[in-house]
Amino acid sequence: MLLLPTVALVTLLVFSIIRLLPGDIVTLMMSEQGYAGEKAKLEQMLGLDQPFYRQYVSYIGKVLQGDLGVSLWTKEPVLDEILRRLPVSLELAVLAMFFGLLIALPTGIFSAVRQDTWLDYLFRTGAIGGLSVPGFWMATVVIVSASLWWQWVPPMRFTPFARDPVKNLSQLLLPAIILGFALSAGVMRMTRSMVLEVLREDYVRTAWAKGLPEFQVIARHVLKNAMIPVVTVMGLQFSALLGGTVIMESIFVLPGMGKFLLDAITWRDYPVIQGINLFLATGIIVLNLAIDLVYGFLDPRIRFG
Amino acid sequence: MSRVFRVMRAKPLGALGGLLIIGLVATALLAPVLAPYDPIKIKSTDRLQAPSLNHPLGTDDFGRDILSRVIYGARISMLLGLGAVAISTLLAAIIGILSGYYGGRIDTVLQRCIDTLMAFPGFVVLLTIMAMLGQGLGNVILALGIGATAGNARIIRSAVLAIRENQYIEVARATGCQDWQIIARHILPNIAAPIMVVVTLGLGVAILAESSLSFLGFGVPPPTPSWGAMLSGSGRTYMLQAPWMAVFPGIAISLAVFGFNMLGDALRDLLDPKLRGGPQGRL
Amino acid sequence: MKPGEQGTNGLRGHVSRRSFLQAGALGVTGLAAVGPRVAWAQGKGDAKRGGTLVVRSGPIRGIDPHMETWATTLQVVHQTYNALLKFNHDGTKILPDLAESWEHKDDLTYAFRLRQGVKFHNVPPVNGRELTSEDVKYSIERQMTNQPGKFQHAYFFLDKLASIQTPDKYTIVFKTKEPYAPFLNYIANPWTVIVSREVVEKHGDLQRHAIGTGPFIMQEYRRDQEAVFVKNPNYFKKGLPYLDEVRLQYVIDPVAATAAFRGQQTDISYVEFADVASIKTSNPRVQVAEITTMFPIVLRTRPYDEQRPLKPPFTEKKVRQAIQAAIKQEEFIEIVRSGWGLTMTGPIPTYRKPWALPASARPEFDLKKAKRLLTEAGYANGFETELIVGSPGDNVKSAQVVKDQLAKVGIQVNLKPMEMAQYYNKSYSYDYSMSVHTALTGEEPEEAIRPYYGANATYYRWGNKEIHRLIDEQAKVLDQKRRVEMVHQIQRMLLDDAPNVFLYTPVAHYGVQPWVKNYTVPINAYDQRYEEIWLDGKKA
Repeated sequence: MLLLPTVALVTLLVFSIIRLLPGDIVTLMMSEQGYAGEKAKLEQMLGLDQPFYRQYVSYIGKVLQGDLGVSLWTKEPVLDEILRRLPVSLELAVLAMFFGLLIALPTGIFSAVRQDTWLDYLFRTGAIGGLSVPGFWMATVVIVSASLWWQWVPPMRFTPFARDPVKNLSQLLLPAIILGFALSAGVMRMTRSMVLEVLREDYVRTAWAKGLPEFQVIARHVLKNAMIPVVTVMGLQFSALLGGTVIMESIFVLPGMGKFLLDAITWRDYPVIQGINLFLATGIIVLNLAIDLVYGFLDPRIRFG
Repeated sequence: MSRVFRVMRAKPLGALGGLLIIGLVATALLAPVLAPYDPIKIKSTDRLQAPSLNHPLGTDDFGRDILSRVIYGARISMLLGLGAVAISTLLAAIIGILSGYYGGRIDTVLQRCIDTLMAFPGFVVLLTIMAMLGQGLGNVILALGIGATAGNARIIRSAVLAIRENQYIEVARATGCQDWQIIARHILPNIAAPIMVVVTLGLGVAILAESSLSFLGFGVPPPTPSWGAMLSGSGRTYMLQAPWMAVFPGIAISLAVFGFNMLGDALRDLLDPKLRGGPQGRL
Repeated sequence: MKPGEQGTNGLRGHVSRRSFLQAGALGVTGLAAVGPRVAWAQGKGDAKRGGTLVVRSGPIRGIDPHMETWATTLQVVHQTYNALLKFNHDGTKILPDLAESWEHKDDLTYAFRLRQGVKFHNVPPVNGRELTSEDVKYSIERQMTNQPGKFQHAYFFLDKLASIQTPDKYTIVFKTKEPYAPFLNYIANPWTVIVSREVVEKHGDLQRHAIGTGPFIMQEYRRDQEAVFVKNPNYFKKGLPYLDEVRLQYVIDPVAATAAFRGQQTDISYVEFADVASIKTSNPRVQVAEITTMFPIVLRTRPYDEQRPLKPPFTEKKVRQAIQAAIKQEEFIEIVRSGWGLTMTGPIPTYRKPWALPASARPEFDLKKAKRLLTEAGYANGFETELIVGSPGDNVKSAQVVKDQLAKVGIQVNLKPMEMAQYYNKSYSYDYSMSVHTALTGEEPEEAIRPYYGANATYYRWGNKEIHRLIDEQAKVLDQKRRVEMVHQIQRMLLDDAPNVFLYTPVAHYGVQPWVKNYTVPINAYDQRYEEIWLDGKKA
């Protein structure tokens, strides 16, 4: 399992970086949370009185049992908190990917097929436009305009999809579209260049020559092969997305992992920072593995190559 | 010269991008000459003025001239971008070249490290680094640079790998050239192309990332006029009362990122041997 | 003192509704030193029952009323707990809450008669039992726990009480060691609520649980999302509350919060002054209350006491006075708040008469004097120093103004904004050269002084023993006239010593939707009681 050393390194990195955060949590908790005079007790509670390696080993031991520690501020188990917030971020990320693809694939294909026409330039400019405007700014403009002109604002109270899909979507739609828009730029360009490349391939030229309708050529031959790098980009973007949800979650009041991490960093909630990093990193490694498998499906050459 | 024009006509968007970037660099360099006012001096009597002849882009809530701040902001953006890209490219090049050229054990170990870093969502890395280092222009540059290293290292590594297979490398080795000579003379020039693309795109990313960091409170601290801080701070607060405070830095950011991306795209198209049709050795 | 009489400041709300309506033009008023303004969102006719009130909330650390100091904590606390006494909306009168009546029997004795039949929430572990004087004694004693930094309101009564007696279930008698003028004010303070022993014993502290006698029962509490409270069917004030539910909606981004208010997602919300004009235009029926806050902004120099000696250049009084002379308060109000703020004459905000110093006492803005003082102190060429400030927020802007103003006398200030957590860290370890800080004041005048400049101060430290002594003494003076003189004297000494420069008192705005009835936004932002509100005409 080639993954193991990577994961192990991840945990080591996460564990040690946290300890480097200034604003020592003990002092902070003493003054803020009011544990004044109990420095020793607090250090023991946080496991900070042990030497580094011993802390690390005991941490790993607990992790393997599924115990990611207890949040220093909410006193709830970290894993529970993460799992409670994961669905929110995931839903946002998935919706964002959906919209991203919805925008990127058609425009990318069109752009490639009509290369160097004004349509191509239009789409490419639009895509870059989406990339060039910071997400929080788009969100701000949208929210303020909507509230000003229509007295409408996305609900700021999160409702799980299962309970009320309409309310849920009405809150998540806007941030998902904004994120998706930013996402679509990269995917669109990748799609475009891959389609361009495939279009030049011999077997496609043969299909042209045979007189197959354009649509069929694209659907049957071009797409499948162009998708491979697109899937890679999507994978990369997804990982970036999980971090990028921080801003949308802050503005649209979504109780997701991004905001949770931000809060944890602000309040120096070590177990949570560790837990989230570990969780995300492992998740992404697993995701990449899955993508590799998808490769295998899409391109038989790779499977047997 | 005519060659340049030919290229420009073939890639109009890229040319546009290039022009924007030249404008950006020029503004950054000539800031003290171009800016009509001191970007930091507070003048409470001139607050929140709409664009006028005196202040073509208006003033902000401190009474500072926005045109001057946007001009100096170009300097900050260039500093940020170049600094971050310099750090990340240097680190990435070292890692990528070592990994790609030597292969074997070194490659495996370095690859694991890269994989580890890449497993963290970029923004998370940025936040954590900023939380560790604290606010400050230098820290933002460092954070952005470190954050971008892993991805770039991978790109450089694959570029090196592609070249390593070439025969003339074997020949060079056979004739007793030293490693560093080979790297300097053969590898570096050939990876210049992907590096250029990486650099151009990275500059755009850095500027955007800084604005997001500013929004979350981790960006360049005031009173330094960074576009990101102008957009995400008072610009947002006074959005309805004084929209010019945010609109102009926003346009500046968009133009800069747009320019970098278009330029990077065009460079990639131009320099990619595959798309040019036919293998070529050196550029 | 007679029952019902207030032992407070004499805060007069002399602004009527009419003058509030007249002062509609924004950003032009500038520096009018008016008193606090209130908005009446009043309903006519019978109260309507039912509905959910949504109030905007913000970052919150914990909900233990004896430990925390942020207003967001009280948004939770005031739904679920009651106090013996409370202030009215403008802090001019003390009203009964859990106490039916009280008597200041002699200089040292205060007797309270509790209402009978007050029940705690019918929730484990208290299960609806009756509140007795033992509970009051327990709460006050807990509040007084001597753990500086942890129990932040201990200074109200710590070392001041000789005894707390509970002769019967509904009577409680406090005896102070010496005459203690602030006593009733601290009893009526928004933080002095009555908690239950069982909950503390079960959970160790009250940071995540709020079970009291209050009008609402906590149903759900998620720190970074929302808190939901439902009506307490056994509330001792018959007929109250009118609302079915109160929801505190956590929104951290101020732009999103204003949009939420505009979009009618919140019923009561703090709004940024920059948005007030557009809110009034787009929702003309909305009430926007202007509240002179109780949280002034202060420029602090290095704290000092026996363990922490002063470091140059702040060892020189003249240097501190020079800084004071170089500061122009009006510029802060103009730049940071677009005019929404009041100048200050000392640590006690100017509206708190008669305790605040008169306008004539205000330190003069005089650049020449500042330069002269610096030269006399040996710093003719100025000096360089570092200023820390918590980010994000208005104080970062104030810090920039400080930098700009002090540069004019040659003092180079290096700004060091930092995350709130780190900022408070440094603040409470008294480890900084200069900082821009939000200070806390209250109805009780010594709240602005004792926790900062007194002998056992926690929020700040200033080692001037004479000031310590005077602060100790003024608390013992029951005669208001004499006490006012002493408080004035202390403030004058503080202005002379100049450890801190008082920058301005912000004026804040609260939006109240037109369907929120019978609610007056209190002057004290700490007061978050909604039990008398009813809703009329809110869309579901």
